[in-house]
Amino acid sequence: MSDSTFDQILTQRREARQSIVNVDEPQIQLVIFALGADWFAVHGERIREILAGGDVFFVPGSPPSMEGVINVRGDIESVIRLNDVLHLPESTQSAHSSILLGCTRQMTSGIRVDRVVDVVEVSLSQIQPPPSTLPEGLRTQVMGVLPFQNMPVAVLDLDNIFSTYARGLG
Amino acid sequence: MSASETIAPGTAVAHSLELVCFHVGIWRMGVVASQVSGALRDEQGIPIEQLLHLPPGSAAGRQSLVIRQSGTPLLVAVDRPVDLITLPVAAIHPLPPLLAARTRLHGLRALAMMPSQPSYLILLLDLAACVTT
Repeated sequence: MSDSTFDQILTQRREARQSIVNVDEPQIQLVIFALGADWFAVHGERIREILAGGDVFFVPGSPPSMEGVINVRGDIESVIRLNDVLHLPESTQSAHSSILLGCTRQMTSGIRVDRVVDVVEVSLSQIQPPPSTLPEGLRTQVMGVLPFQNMPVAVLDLDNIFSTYARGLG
Repeated sequence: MSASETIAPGTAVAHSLELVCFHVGIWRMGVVASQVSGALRDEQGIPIEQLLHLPPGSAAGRQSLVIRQSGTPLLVAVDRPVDLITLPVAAIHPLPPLLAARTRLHGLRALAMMPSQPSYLILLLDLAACVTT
C-alpha cells in the first residue's frame, strides 16, 4: 500500500468519525411491575427501594385499599394496594409479590404490587402519550405508555396517585 | 405539643414516655399515662370500641380505665391485661401521611414499635379527644 493511499484512508476514517453526531437522548429509569395481567411502571427516582417481604400490620379503621403499615429499618410506612386505587380487579397475593417504597416530594408510602418485572433505562421518546381509551380510573394517573416485551406498560404518576389517595378519592 | 411549636434552646426533651397499654381484640393500644388517673377491676366503663367507632368486642375479661378529661373523668372498658410501660421516644412514630389522611379510627395519634419487639405494633390513642370529637 502506498503512503498516499494510506493517508487517504486515514483521512476518510477521520472524516467518518467526525460525521457521527452524538445525540444524547434524555433517559429515565423505570421500575416495571405487574398488577394482575397488566403491567405498570413508575419513575425509578420515585422508588426508594423494593421490599421483598416483611410483616404488614393492619391498622383498624383503615380503608380496604390500605393494607397496613410496615417497619422499614425503624421507620413506619403505610402500604397501599394499587389495585384498589386504580380500580383494578383484586389480585391474589403470591410469593412474588413485593412492596415498592414510593417517595414523592410530599410523602413516602409502600405500594403493594404482584410482581416486579424489571428495572430499565429507557429514552423519554419511547414513552408514548396515554391512549384516550384508558379506563376512567386510570386516565388521570397515567403519564404515558411504554411498549416493553410486547406489552403496553402504563407509566404512572406517583405524586398524583398519592395526593389523590390522601384526598380520599382512591 | 403542636407541630408549629418550637423547642427553645436548652429546653429538656423527654427521652421516654409512659404509656398505659391494653388490648382491644387482636390489637395492642396505649394511651399516655398522664391521661389515665386510675384503673378499676370492673368493666362498667364505656366499651372502648364505642369510642373508637369499631365493631363491638367481647365484654369478658375487661377492666376499666379512668381517663382524665375536662369535667367528670371517663370510665373506659378495655381488654386485660393492662400494663404500664416506658417507651423510648425513638420507638414512637407519627402516623404515615396516607394513613393519617385516611384512617377512620377515632383518636389514633401515633404508632409505636418497641425496638426489642419489632413485630409488635402499639396504636397510640388520645381517648380524651375521642369524647370531645
